[in-house]
Amino acid sequence: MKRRLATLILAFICILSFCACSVQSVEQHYAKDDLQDKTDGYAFISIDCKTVLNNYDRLDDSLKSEKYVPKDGVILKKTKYPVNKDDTAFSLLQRAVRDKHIQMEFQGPEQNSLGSVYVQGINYIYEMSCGELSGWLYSVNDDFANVSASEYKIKDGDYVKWQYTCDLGYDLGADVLN
Amino acid sequence: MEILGVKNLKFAYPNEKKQALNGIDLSVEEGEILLVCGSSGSGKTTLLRLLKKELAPCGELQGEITLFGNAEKKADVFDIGFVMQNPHSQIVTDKVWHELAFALENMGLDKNTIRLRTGEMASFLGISSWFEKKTSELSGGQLQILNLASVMAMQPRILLLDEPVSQLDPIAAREFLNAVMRLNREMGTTVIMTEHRLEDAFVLADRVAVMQDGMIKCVGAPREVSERIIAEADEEMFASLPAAARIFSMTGGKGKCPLNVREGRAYLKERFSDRAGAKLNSKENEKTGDKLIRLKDLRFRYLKNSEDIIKDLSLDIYSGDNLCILGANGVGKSTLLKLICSRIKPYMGSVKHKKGLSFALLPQQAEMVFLKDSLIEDLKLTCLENGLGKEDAENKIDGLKQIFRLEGLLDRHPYDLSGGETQRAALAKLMICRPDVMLLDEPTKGIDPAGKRELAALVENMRYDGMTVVTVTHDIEYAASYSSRCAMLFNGEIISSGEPRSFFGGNSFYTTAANRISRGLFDNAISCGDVAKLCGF
Amino acid sequence: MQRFSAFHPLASFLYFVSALCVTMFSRNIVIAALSLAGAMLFYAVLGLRGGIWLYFIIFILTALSNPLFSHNGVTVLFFLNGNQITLEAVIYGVYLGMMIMAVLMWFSCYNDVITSDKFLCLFGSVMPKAALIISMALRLVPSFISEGKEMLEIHSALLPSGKSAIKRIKRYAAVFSCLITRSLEGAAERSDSMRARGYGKGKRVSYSRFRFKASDAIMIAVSLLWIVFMFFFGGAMEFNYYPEADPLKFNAAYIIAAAYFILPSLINLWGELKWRYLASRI
Repeated sequence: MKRRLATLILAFICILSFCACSVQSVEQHYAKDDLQDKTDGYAFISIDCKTVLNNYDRLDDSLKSEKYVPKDGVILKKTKYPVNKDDTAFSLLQRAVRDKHIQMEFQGPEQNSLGSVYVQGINYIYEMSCGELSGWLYSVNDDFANVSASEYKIKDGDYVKWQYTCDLGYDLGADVLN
Repeated sequence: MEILGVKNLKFAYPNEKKQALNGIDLSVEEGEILLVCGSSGSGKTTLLRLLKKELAPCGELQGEITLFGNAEKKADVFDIGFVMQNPHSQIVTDKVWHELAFALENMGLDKNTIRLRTGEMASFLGISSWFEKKTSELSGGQLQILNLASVMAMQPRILLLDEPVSQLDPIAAREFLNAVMRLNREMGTTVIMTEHRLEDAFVLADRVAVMQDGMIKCVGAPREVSERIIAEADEEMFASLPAAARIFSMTGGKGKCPLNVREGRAYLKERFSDRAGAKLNSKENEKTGDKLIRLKDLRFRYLKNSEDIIKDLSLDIYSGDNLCILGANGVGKSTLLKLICSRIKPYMGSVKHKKGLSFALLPQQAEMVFLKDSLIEDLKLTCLENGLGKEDAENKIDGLKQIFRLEGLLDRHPYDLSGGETQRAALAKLMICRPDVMLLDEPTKGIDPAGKRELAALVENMRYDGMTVVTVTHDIEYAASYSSRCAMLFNGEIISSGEPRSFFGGNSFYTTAANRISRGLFDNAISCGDVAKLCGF
Repeated sequence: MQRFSAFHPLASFLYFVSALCVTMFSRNIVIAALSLAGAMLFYAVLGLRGGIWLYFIIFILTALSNPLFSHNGVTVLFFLNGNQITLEAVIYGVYLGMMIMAVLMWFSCYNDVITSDKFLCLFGSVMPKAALIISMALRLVPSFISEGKEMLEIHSALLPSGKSAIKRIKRYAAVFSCLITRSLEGAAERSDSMRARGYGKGKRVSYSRFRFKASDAIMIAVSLLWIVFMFFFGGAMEFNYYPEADPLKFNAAYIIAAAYFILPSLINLWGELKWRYLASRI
């Protein structure tokens, strides 16, 4: 009796979680356009991994290909996107990678100890893919902010740079520890 | 040659005025088997433990013990082997072969010697087939043989056995005693053994020493000692004597006292052949009440893939019965008891109880029913749990104290009681619940004849109070003397049942010694008293 | 014919340790598959049955859960709640599942082959005192459990029905403390029995009944060679799962690995065949 009840509850949970999932094919995912009609202005975004070029020997063997690290290290050149007042450095990144079909993986606020979004990898280049001290950083108008990208609000005319560092940001001129 | 001598040995436990041993003089020859008997509390165990230095109890010791003559001063620990009563608690390791090697490891022998000695010991005592088993899988009888083998692997010159078979069933007990006899006859090991089941032990003993109140009353060959006991009309020891000797005494025999069935038969034939054919009628079926419990075509197994332990068993139990269910070890007796009180359920067949029937079960290890640190606390707790008020509880306990003779025991820890005392106390505890049916699992295990008599009296008392008693036992003598009905369980079914006289009269092997002695001469005589009666005494 | 079980404990122990280490540290999907196949075969040859469903469920769960949590990989199959589910993550999940299942199955085989007395033989020579204590514990624990069950049964029957849960729990606690008292009581008698057999007199040795044979030496040599081989040539078998899984390429080391993983099964099966052949000629 108890066993049957347990099975029933388990099945119920399975169905429920299944309903909560939305499955999209690749085409459907990229076809969806989330550029808002009403915009509060425009912001710029670029993604690069130039520092990898100087540390190519430390890069994972499986990533040593132009598919992943372009010759000039630029994954997304400076591009202009409309933004509204709720947009953050992270949502802008999300919009850009979806628009340009760039792979990106992040940890949501519930998945890590920081309680905020953390970008793990862009274009298959992940944290620690190029040495122990490597990972993704962002700057707005060349200013490395001290808050998570999902908490940094973007204003009209801002320029968000996502850059890969191989040395905790020092190679980008950021002083992360302060 | 004297291998062990005891001169004027006196011993008292600390804080006790009474001397446990009071001037023992004893001399043991090399290669003999000395049986030390006596009622519980006569100092047998104390004497035996004092002989083994490592196990000697603390206390005040006077007198002297000489080992191996005067030439060798000190005895090595490995020269004296000691086997205790409880087969389970002496085992140290988890595997049979390791247990055999335990003493040899302590001796620091090299690997090949240990291999040889364990192998020798295992094949001598027939352990080979379970040499690699786990000790937790063995029966009590096997464990005790293993204890013996492990001790004998040290090749001791003296073997001390402290009631080694009191916890075993009759077949295992006989096997153990046979092993001891072989060790003595074939290896020349000197054996000193205490035991109260004399029927079997008398056969192998060269000499018997009877102890009473810390003194040795008499020493001599078994026959001499039996004659002495008969002559002195020592009630306590008389009950322990072999049936043949008891019949001899009860029929006023003169001359050589018979000690076993063969001698007993010869004696009866010679003296009472004129009475051949005398017959005792089956006891009139005692007034049995209505049917209380009806078991019909039960089948039971413990695990899905195991074999049926109870097979198509049917049995009726009537109110006021004192039913003894007999059977060897492992035929499912304890299982049957649990089925009767519906603690476990059969997968086929039905168990029908009269409405509102309540049960109490005395487990094989009676001390398990206690939870508290003293008997009185435990009884009080049970009273409270059964909804008795404080005053009622005290009255109740007072009453039980009278019936179950618990004076002086109430403040003791339940585990410090002797076998018979534990049983009385446990029965008292179960009586608080006032069950309609009392189930006893192997109640005569480790109990001396006096204790059995007492138990039987208590059972009679309970029946008088309107209770029904069901006992499972392998003790044939107990069932024959005290039950109102017997049933035999074999291979998971009841193969015969009936009133004891006709039940045992109909069996030829599975029956009492008195019946075997009188078979062919008298009919239906199952106790020594019966035989004496038919002989005209 | 369990010929593999007849090896000296040291030989079989070394085999299991090396097989487990390679399975866990190689990160190569082929090695994991070979190891799993070897473990399953040996599992069957040893006649073990239980637990196979549990292992299979663990395998399925690991294989399925990895793509849900890892979104790396170039071959996107579909998007789930906006996250890409990739073929590479599935492959890595399958690898992880196989690896975990193989390790679990090797452990089951280990449990069957390395019995408690073999284990004690291994450690008895290094730590004789600890070995004796383990052996005593192995004796006491089952008897403690069975005694506990019996006492619980007795006492739940003694307690009048309809008593509250709290009373029942209290009763369990009382039974447990009583069990402890009983086992202490038993310990006193056991220590008597140990002293009576000369425990604590002189130097104690640790006896094990296993002999070291020439075949044991060969088995140990094979295991050691294999460890050395894997240590030096393991690098050639490195396998990348992200961002794109390496194509499966043939490697001579795979044959050696396969041979090593099915070695115990072969030894047992060969023994069986030989025995059948000999029996047929009687």
